[in-house]
Amino acid sequence: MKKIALIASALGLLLHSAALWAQPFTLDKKFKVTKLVLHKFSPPDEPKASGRISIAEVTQKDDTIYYFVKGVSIYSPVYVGVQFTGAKNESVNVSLHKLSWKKAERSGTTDARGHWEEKFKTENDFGLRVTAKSKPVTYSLMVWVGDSPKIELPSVFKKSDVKRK
Amino acid sequence: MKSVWKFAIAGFFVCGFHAAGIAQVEPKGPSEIGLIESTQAQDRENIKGIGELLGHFGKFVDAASSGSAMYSAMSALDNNECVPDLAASASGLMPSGCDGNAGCNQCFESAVNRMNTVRKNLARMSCLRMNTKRYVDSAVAFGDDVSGIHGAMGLAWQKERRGINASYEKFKKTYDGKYVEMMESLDTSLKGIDVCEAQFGMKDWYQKSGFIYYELMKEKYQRTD
Repeated sequence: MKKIALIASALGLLLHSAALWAQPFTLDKKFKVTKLVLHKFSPPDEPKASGRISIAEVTQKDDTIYYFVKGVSIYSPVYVGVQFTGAKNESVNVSLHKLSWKKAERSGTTDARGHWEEKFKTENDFGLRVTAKSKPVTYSLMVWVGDSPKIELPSVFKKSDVKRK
Repeated sequence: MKSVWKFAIAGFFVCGFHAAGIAQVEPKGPSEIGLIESTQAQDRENIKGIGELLGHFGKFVDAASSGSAMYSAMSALDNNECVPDLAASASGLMPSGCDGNAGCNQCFESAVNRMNTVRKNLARMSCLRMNTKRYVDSAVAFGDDVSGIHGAMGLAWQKERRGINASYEKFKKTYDGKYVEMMESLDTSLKGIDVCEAQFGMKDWYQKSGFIYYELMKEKYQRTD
């Protein structure tokens, strides 16, 4: 119970920061940003995949679409995948953003199989931008945020030579 | 690959949205999700994109030996983003008289678990503070830059700027409150360890070691801005 109270206490700070940090990607009003909602995901036969997930099938009619995800813990693994389902000689460009749309932290293009993915860790929120050369394009988009794994902390103890008296 | 299809059996949700005509999403219901586990090639074809996506995700999950190995292999999205530093410096190590016997370990377990939870929370809080400060600085710089272009925009930005700064001040107060809570919890856990040390290891452990560690942590995570 004490552990739960401690975690809840830390989350209280996160909620406070979330109010401030509600969605940095909407600071520039010219961008129309879509929130990707994460839903609980717990396959019984694969505990490693437990967490939250968002999957969407998209038909993109404009050059660029902006998405964002929020409520991520720095102690959680994150996987983002895009599967392009259009013609084989076409592709979409994908970039991941942290503080602004101007600077991409990671970027790439769907490969010959139409796939692109990235894995990372981050705190609170991140943005995802998909750019298509030809329109409309169709693709599937997936964001998975894993449960925080049990992280073994290095011990803060060293063996003492002093015997108990 | 097989496990990939099983993910679908467990059930997942597909979110749908329609963003001002620039994108259209067809939400998938339980019956369509059920097709993912189907062995019918035609059915799979209908959900081709998601099926392939799950295939890649399944390979990613299968490649990791554990959740913690998966997490450890990942780097921060932003190179400048603060990632909790959970390392224990050699100078910060506390001597312990616990020789690892069952009674000693059992006594220590609860207090050490509590202390480790506090260590993780403090490290995360500290990063949250640094990342938030970086965001505020970045947002203010962005707004100052853009507002100079147009007079009317400048007035609106001044209001928004005040709001951001006020929120940040509130955040700092909240951090300070949580910091006090965490330090109290750390103190409680160290005193719990002291009880075990008195029984199985060193006498007056808290006065000799626990208190010094407490002071080190207090200084490390205290907000200075």
